[in-house]
Amino acid sequence: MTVTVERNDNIKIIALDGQIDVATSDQTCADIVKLLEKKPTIIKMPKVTYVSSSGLRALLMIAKTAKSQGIKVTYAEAVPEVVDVLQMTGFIKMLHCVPTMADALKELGE
Amino acid sequence: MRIDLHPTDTYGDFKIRPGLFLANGAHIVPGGINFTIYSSGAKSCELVLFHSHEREPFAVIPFPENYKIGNVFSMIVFDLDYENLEYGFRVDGEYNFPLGNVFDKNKTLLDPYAKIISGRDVWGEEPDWSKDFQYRSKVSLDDFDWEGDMPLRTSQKELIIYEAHVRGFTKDESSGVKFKGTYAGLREKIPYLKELGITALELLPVFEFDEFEGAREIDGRKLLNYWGYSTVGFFAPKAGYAASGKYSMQVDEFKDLVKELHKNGIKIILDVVFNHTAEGNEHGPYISFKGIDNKTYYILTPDGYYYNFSGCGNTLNCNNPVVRNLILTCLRYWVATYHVDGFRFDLAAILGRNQDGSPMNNPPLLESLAYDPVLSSSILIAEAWDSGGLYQVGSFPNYGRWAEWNGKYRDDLCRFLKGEAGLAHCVAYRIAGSEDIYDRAWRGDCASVNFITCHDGFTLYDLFAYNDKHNEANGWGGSDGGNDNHSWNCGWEGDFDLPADIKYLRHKMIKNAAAILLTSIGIPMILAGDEFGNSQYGNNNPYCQDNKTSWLDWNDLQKNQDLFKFFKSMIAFRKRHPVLMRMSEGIPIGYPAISSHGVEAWQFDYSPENRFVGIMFAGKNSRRQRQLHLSGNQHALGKSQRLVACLATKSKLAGRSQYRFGR
Repeated sequence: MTVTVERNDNIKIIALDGQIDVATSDQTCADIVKLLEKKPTIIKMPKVTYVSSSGLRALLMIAKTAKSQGIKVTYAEAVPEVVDVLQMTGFIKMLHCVPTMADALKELGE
Repeated sequence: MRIDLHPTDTYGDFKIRPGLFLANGAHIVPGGINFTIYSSGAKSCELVLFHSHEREPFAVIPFPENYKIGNVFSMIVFDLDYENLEYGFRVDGEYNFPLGNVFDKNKTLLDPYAKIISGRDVWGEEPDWSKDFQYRSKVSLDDFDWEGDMPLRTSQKELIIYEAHVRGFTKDESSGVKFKGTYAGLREKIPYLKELGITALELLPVFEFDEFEGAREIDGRKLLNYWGYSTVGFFAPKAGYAASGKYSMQVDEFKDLVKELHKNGIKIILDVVFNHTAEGNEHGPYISFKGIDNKTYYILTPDGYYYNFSGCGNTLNCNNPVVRNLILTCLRYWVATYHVDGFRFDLAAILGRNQDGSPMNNPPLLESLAYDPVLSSSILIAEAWDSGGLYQVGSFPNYGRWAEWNGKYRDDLCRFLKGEAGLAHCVAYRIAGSEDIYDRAWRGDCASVNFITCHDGFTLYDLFAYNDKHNEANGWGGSDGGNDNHSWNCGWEGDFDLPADIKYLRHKMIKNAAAILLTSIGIPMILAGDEFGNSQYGNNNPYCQDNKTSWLDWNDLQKNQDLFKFFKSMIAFRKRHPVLMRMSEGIPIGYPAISSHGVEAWQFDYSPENRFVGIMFAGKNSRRQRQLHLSGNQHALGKSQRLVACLATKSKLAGRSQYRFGR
């Protein structure tokens, strides 16, 4: 799993690439939490091919940690398989997910 | 930092240590996974580890001699990828059939405490039968974001139960949901359940079972174990009912269903099958219990054969202390970690049988369940009979705590509704809470679960559309399914070329049934689909029909709006009248809470010819006091009834709270 900061001005954009499973979830969560600053953050998901049970928990923990710090986190462009998993398990209700980057940016006034 | 959570030994490349002996099954601990298993007769035991779905294990680790206390083996294995892991046990011991020992060290066995079971991840996907190890234990993450949810605290008096099959509820195209036939699909239908107004959803078995058990092909059609009354593992939700089963996420998906039901004020009750397992008799497969500790888990004859009080090959030895503990732990687990609100126990009379098969007066299992601290707000409903001839409706060992499926209610009501004579006084009892069966002083107001239809038998529509069962498609030459249906086709068998007047009469009959059911004292239960006239085409035992016979056809909801509206109104009516739930106080001037009447007030006719039932409910709550008259008449033509003199608001009451049923 690679975690890349693609933009960091008034908005932070973090791109993920790889699978979030038991091997990567703790590290991914820790890496992203470390990157959080007091600014809206978009996490780009199109290159995340698979999210396992522990991966779901990582996504939720990131969102909860951000919320506790007053930071808005948006997950954008998850692939259909990942969206399905989020829907089936109900995790989608606890995460802020939007279909496209344009949607995410528009919400933040861009 | 715990000093007892570091490896003490190695086995090959694996770091291990003696485990947590009190934690049955597999649990994630810091750095590793704890595995614990009990067997009274095992000489030795091996832990067998597989990568997901692989045929051959990647490790077989024997429990070392010093990893055993009493008859419990326990070991922590470190550095395992728990998501990509399936595990089982191999247990060695003597083979002595008459003594009940049938150990076979070559069989890899499912953990009786497995919280996830893989092997049947996607419903109906043909299994690879060449694999030795079919049903595989997996480790579960028990954490879940409940967002404050707990089992609902509302009174059991407010229960209106809706009995449904997870798959059948939304599998049909007409359901319109995204994840058809699954927990997630059911969750999508919650707004419908809320609109209908029911307060509890009771699901046919959701513990892992094998839909391919006893699968057959009849006339080119595949028949499966669709209902699932044959448990493989008691702690695991059926993977094939989860849209996410292929990702092993059924635990999260099921919990989310529970959370959403609760958000909408709907309780969840599970139909649980502890009377037998899927291992059958001496010809059945080794899945788990048989190879781990046969004589502990099953009631055996003196020659080592299986007693068959369940009609399904074996009988779980429910009052053995170890099995008792498994059942209790299981139910506590479903309440504490899944927030389930209650249970309906299939063939519950077996849960009161002794280890030799005889019925007990004070069965320790039933007593433990009745007094368990975690279960103390859960509703416990017994199907108070078994296939060994024990019929305990009214006499089930209840500790003032257990409710029962009231089989007498169903039988009396069906016969009365179709017009049989001599039942008026029985029906008066049934409507009034069956106090002739359930002593109110001891059993309270929620002992009787009233139902006219359930998964077993005709649907409500079929009850008035078929004189005879039509089970040919089940492949048993019509010999399966009950013959005591007490049904009446209203003068026309089935639906082909159905005359309009017959259709009208059937709808009227369905409304009669709904009206009585929802105004009876006790807990009403509705079979899913009855509220819109769902038909099973006369099949009264579609346990094997995974097709349109069993799946609800949601097009009927549009076609039969009159029925849906009637059910919905009757449910709302029940909720508006605390007197029907016995949630009101007596009226000061002295009317009894429930009284029966004839054509003349206070003069119930007990003669066998009588076909007229009048019931008056009277009570008040803090806001208002009221009487409610219910009068029923089996005569083809209406009879007029003189109502009991009403209180101050009589004209309003008579107008608002009176329903007459009849032909």
